[in-house]
Amino acid sequence: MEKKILIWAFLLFVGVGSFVFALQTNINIIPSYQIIEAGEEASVIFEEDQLQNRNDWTYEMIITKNKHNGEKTIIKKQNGTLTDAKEILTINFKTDTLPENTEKWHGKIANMKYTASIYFSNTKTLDVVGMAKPIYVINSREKLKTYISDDLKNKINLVIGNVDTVTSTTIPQAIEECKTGEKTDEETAEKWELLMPKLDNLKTDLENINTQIDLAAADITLQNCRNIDIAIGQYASGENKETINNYFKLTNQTIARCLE
Amino acid sequence: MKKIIFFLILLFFISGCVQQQNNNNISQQTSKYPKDFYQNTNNNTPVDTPSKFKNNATDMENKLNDLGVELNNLMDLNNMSLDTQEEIELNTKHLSKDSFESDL
Repeated sequence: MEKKILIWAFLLFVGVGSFVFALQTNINIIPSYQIIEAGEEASVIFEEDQLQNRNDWTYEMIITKNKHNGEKTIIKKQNGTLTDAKEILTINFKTDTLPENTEKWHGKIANMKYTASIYFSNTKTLDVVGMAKPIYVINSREKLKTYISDDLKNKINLVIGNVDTVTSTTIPQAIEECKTGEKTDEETAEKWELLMPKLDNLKTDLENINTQIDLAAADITLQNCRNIDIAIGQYASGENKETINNYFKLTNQTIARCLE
Repeated sequence: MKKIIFFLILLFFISGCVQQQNNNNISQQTSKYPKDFYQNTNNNTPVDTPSKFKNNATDMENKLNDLGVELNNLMDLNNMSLDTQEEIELNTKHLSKDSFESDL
């Protein structure tokens, strides 16, 4: 009985150990540029320093091109066996020029996506670990910078300015009209008063987009571009959606009930 | 002495004529404006209050509507973001060889 318990305990230990090992395996995928220009030569470095008994492991590196219609094409494949010494695995490839029907970031910056993938497999235990990372290829880093620091920033600044004008002047005027004008509607006035702090929250989210734009304009990296997207996502979240819906309703209500 | 008195009378007459001419000019200028404008400016009362209110209402309506459209347009930017979700999924899952190849 004790032997059985010991065997189960051992198996559990090995099983949990393998699971923990798999989760802790850390693979770094480092492209030569975070944002690559179309037609440029690029390279990707794969690093893994936690595989044990390394010469039992083989590797396969793959670069795929993801088309806008969802199709994927393998551009380059490279494989081999790891040695006991830690290796830095590199794969080089040339990016295509941009076709016309590429995806556009915020409708402006044409981009196509490649994926750099690697998997390591153990020839004895048949374990496999793998990792993949997208690489974005755009028409021009300079155009991206201009878009971020001019177009996008101006767009956000314009809206922030208009939120300021409306919350400081237009809505208070609307509230006054609803309370004291020829046509009065207390309910609309009260709703505007309740909406004002929510518009302030919305403005804070807009200012956060602006902060991320400034950071990305100063340092064009994929992560910084994504931080803009994350800030835009936060702005487009549930609470602001509700605020904007209520804003539209109140605008129509004010026109119908308070204005001549 | 007679000459001095005559000269003073002549001077008085000429200044009277000039004053009359100035008064005529003022009345001609003011008569170019509508009667109600003249009265309102004299009394310091606001001009044409109803149309001013209408302009404010239109301006208010336009500003409210324009901001609503701008806020909504910014929402659309969210639909044109880079595909971040896929990377998160790829980076967090350890792929089996079969699932890895089926991903390609």
